[in-house]
Amino acid sequence: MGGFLSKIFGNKEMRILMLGLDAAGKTTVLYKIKLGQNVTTIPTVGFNVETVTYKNVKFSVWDVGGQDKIRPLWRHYYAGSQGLIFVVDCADRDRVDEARQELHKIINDREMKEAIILVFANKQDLPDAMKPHEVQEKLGLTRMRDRNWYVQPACATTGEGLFEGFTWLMSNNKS
Amino acid sequence: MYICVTGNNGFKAQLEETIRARFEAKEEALSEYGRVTLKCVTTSRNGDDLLRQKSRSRSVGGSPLESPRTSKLVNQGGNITQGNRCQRQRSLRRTEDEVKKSRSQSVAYELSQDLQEKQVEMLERKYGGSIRSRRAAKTIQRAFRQYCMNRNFEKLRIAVGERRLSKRLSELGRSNTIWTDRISADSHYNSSMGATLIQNNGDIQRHTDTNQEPGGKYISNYDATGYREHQKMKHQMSLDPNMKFDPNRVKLPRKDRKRLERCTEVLDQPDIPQEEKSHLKDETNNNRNSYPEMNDSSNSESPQNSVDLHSFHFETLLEGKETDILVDSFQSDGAIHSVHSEPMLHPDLASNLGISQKPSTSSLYSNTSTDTYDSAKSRSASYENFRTNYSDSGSLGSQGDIQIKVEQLSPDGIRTQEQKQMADQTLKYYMNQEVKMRGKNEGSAKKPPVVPARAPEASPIWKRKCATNGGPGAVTPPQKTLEPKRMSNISEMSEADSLDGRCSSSPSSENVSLGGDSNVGYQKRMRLSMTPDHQHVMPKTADKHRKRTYRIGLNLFNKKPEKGVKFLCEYGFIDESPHVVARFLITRKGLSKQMIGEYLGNLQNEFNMEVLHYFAQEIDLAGLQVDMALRKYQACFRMPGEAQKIERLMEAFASRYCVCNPDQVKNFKNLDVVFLLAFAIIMLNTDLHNSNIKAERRMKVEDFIKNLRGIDDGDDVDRDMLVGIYERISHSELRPGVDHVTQVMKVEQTIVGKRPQLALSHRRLVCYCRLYEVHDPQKKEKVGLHQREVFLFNDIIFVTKIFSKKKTGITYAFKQSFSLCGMQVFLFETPHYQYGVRLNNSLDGKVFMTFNARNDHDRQKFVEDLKEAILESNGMEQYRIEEELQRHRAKNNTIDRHYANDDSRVLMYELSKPSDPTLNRLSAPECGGLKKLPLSNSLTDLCEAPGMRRGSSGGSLDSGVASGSSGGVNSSGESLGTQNLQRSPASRAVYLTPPENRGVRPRHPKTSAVYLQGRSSVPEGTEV
Repeated sequence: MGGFLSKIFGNKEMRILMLGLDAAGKTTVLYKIKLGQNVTTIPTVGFNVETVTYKNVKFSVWDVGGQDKIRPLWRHYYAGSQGLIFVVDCADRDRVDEARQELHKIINDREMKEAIILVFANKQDLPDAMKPHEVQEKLGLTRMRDRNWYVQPACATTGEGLFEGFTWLMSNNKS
Repeated sequence: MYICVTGNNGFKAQLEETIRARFEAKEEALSEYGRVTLKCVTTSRNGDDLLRQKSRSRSVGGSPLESPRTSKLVNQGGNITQGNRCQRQRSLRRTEDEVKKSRSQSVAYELSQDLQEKQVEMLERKYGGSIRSRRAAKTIQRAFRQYCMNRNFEKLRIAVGERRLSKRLSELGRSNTIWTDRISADSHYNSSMGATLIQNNGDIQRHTDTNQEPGGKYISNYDATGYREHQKMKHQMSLDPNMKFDPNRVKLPRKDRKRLERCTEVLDQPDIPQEEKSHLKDETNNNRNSYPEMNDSSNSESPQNSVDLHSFHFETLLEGKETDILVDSFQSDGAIHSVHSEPMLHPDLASNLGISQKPSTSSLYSNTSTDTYDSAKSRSASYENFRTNYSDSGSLGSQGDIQIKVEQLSPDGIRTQEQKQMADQTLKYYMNQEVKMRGKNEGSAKKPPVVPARAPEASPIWKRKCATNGGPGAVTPPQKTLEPKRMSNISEMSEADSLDGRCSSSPSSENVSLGGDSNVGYQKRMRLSMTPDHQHVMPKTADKHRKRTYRIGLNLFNKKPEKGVKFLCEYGFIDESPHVVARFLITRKGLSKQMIGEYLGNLQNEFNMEVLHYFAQEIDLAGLQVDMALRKYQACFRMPGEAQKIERLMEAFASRYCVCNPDQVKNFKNLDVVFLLAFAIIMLNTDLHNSNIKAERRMKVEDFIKNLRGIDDGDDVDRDMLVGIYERISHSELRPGVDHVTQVMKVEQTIVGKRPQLALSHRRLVCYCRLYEVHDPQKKEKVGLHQREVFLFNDIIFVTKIFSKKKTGITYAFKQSFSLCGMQVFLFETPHYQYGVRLNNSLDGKVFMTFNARNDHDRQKFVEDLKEAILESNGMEQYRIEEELQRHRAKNNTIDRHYANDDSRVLMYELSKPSDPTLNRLSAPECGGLKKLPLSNSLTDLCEAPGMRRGSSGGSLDSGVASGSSGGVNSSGESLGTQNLQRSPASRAVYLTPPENRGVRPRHPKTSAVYLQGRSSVPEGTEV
C-alpha cells in the first residue's frame, strides 16, 4: 500500500552527498537549486543539509568534506547514500589533481560502492575553463567502467546545468 | 580613586583600569629608579606623578575631568614616543601583567606613604625646588577650587532653571540639531588632513589677526602648518622650523591646488554670506570624503605618523564622550589656551631640539589646522603630541628644559594673561561666527552659545593643563595598552549610541513594549543629558560623525566582512593586525555573528586565518568538557555550513582547547581526538536538529559512539563522555550567540502580513515609536486615529499597525516600509497637528508619509534617531557609489591600457557591439586602430551596459566634463554665485555629493529655513 501511494505521490527520496575542494562552488550549487523553496529562517548550527524536491523526488543533499582525518566520521552517512555529487572548479587547473585524489578516496570507500557519481564541471562561464571531457579525463573517470558516473557542465551562479544533473541522478537511481 | 566620569560604566571602568595601570607602571619605575638607563623614563614619569599628586590633593573637591584627561594624554603620549621605546619595551610585558592583575582587584591602588613622600620630594626637586613648586601647586589648587565652586554654582543654576527653560531649550534643540550637522561636517572637514585645511586655517588666522593684535605668534603657527603641508607634499626633507608659510608658494599637486584655490576663493569672498560659505565648506568636505586616498596620503607617510593620527582620533573621540557640559566648556577653554601657547613655545622647542628631523612630528602639525571651536581641541591634542615629542626627543630632556616650560607657564607671567584674553577673544570670534551662521540659517537669532561666559575665569587652570600635557606625555605607556583602549572607545560610542538600539520614546510616554517581551529589549536607556545645550552639542558633533563612520564600518562588515575590516582599518578604528582584528570581532557589539563566522571561515585569505588563530586564543575554554567548550566557542560566531570551513574552525578550537585543558587532554594518545570530537559534535548537532533530516534517520547514541570508534589512534574514547556529549547536544542544540540580528528577527516574527524580508545581517533596530499617521495636515481628525507603530531600522523604516493584542504578545500588521537612503525629514506644525513629521523623498520631493507625534519629546527623539539613521544610510550609499566608481575607473584604465597596447583588441572590442549605431560609425573599417586611441575613453563609456552609464559618466569626470548628473543637481536650482565654483574643478564632488548634502545647497535664498531643500511644494515645515 505504502509503495503504491509513494508511486502516486512521488514520495521518492534520495540521500546525496556532496563533495569537492573548497571554493569549488558546493554551497552555491546547493543554494541555487534550493532557490525558491522554503528556507528556514534560523538555520541549524552545523553542516549544510538541504532537501530539494525536484520532480517528485526529494533529494537531501549533504555537504561533506574535509581532510583525511575526518573522513571516517562521514562513514555514517555513506551507507545510506544513493548518490554522490562531486563539484569541480574547472578554472582551477592546478588543483584538479587534488580533486581527483579526493574523489577516488571517497568512491573507493566500501560503503560508497553502490552510489552513482555526478560530477558538476562547475564554473563553465569562466574563460579557459576545462571542458567536460577534459574534466572526465583528468579525474580519471574515463577508465572507470564499473561505476555509473556522469559529468555535467554547469555554472552554479546562473544555475545552468544543475537541473540537468539532478535529472540524471533521478533517472539513474536504481531503487 | 578620584575618577569621576560622566560616561557609562564601561567607559568608567576602562579609564579606571588605565589609570590603575599607570600607577602600577609608576611603581615599577620607582623601584628601578636610580638606574642610569632608565633615568629619563623615570623623570618623565615623575612628571606625571606630580600632576597626579596634585590632582590627588585637589581631589578633596573632586576632580571630575582631569583624571580621565590625564590618562588619555598618557596614552597618547605613549603612542607617539619612539625615542625610548626600546627601553620601555622591557617593562611592557610586566605592565601588562599588572594590568591584568589590577583588573581582578577591585580595590584602588594606593602608593605607600614613604613612596609618596619620596615622589613628592623628587618632583619638587625637579620643578625647581620646593618653594617654587609649592607655590605653583598652590596657585593651581586655588584656581581649581574656584573652578569647582563655579561649577557647582552653574549646576545649581541649571537645575533650577531647567524646568523653566526646558520648553525653550527643546525648541532650540530642534534647530540645534540642524546646526549641529553643519558643524559636524565642518569639523570633519577640518579634521581631514588636506590642503584645504591649511588654507582655511590660514584664513581663520587672518581673521583672528584682524580681531587682535597681529602677532608673530601666528606666524609661527603658520610655520607649523606650512611645515606640515610641505612635508606632506614632499614626503621627505628636514625643514627649517621657522620657514615662512606662504600658501601660494607651496607646491601642490595640481588637483590639490585647484581645490585649495577654490577654497580660498570661497573663503575670501566677503560678500558670500556665511551660510553659503559653510555649505561650500561642506562641499569640500564631501569632496574630501569621497577621496579617502587623499586623507590617507598623510597616513602613509610614516608608520608613526599614522599612529599619531589614530591617537588623534582617539583623542577627539574621548573628547566628545565627556558629556558634562561644564567639562566641555572647561576643556575647550583649556584647549584654546594651549593653542595659543603653542606658537609661543614652538620656536624655542623646535630650534632647541630640531624636531623637524623627526618624521613623526609632521603629525603634530597635521592637527593644528582647525577653525571651529570644537576642533580647536585637536590643536591641544597636537600640542600634546608636540610636547611629548619634545620631552621625548630629549632623552636629552634635561631638567633645565622642563623648568623652562614651567616658567613659561607660571602664573605670574604677563604673557599668559595676554594669551588668555586672546583666547577668549578668539573664542568669542568663533561664537560670533557661528551665531552669524545660525542667525542666517534660522532667520531669527537664537541664544548664542555661551561658552566664553561660562568659561572659568581662572587662568591657572589651563596652565595646569599644559603642565599636565607635558608631564604625562613624557610617560609612555606600552603601545599595546592603547589598542584595547581605542577599542573601548569604539565600544563606548557604539554602546552608548546606537547599537543597543535606542528607544526614541521617553520613559514617560507609554510605549508599548513589544509583545510584552522584555527580551526584545527596547532599552529605556536615557540619554545622558537631555537638555540640549550649545556647548554640549558642539564638541559632540565630531564625535557623532565619528560614531557614524564607525557604524558605517560595522554595516559594511555585516554585508561584506572583509570590506568592513578594511574600512575600519582605514579610518583608524582598528589596526590591521590579526590579533587586533580578532579582539575586535570578539568584543564589539554590532557585528553580525553570521558575518564573523564567514570572516573566520574564509579559507582563501591568509590574514583571516591568522585572525582565526588569535580569535580562538581570546576565548577561555579552561575547565570545560569538549562539548561545553565548543558551545562557548561557537556562540561567538555563527558557524558557516561548509564542511571545510567547519573543519578549519574546529582545528582552531581544538588547538585552543588543548592549551586550556592540558589535564583533560593528557588522557588522549593523539591530540587530534579533540578535533575529531569537535567535528563529530557539529555533525551530531546537524543530525539531531536540522529540520531537513527525517526523525527516523537521526543518529542514536549507539550510532554516535560507533561512528567515533577508534579515533584515538585506534583506541576508543571514554564511552561515558560520549554519552554525556550526546545527551547534552540532543537536549539543547548549539546556537549562535545573540546579536542585533536576533533582535530584528524577534521583531520580524511579530509582524504579520506580506512584508519585505526584515532580518538581514546588516539591519539593526534603532528605535520604536508610536506615531499617528496624518492623511491631510489641514484637515482635523479625531485624536488618536490612524495609530501606527513605527520601527526604525538603520536602513529602513517600517510602519505597522497593531494587529492583535493578546496575552502572548502583540502582533503588528505591516503597512509600509521606506528605505532611509535619500530620505528627508521635515517638522511641521498645523493647528490640528502640533507635532508633525513628514518624510520626503529627496530625489523627487514626493511625500512618503506624514505623521503626528504625541508630544514634542517623542517627536524630537524620533526625529533625532531618524536623522542619524538617514545620515548613516546615506553614508553607506555614498560609500557604495565611490566603490562603484573606483571599480569602474580601474576597469576603464585596464581597457585603456588594452587600447594602448593592442590595437587589434580595440577593433574586437568595438566590433563586438555592432548594435550600437555610434559604435558602428566609429568602428568602421576605414578608421584605423590608432586613430581611435583618443576616443577610447568615450568609447568605453558607450560600450557600457545602460545600467552602468551612471558610473561611466563618472569615469569621464576625470576629464573635467561636467557630468549629466552634476548638471541635474543644479539644473533646477537658481543660479548661485557658487554654482560655477561647484562645476568646474569640483565636478566630482558634486557628483559624489550624497543627497543629504546636496540638500545643503540653498535653492531658495530668500527663504530663511535651514537646510533649504527647496521643496517649495511643502511650504510649512523645517527640515532637519
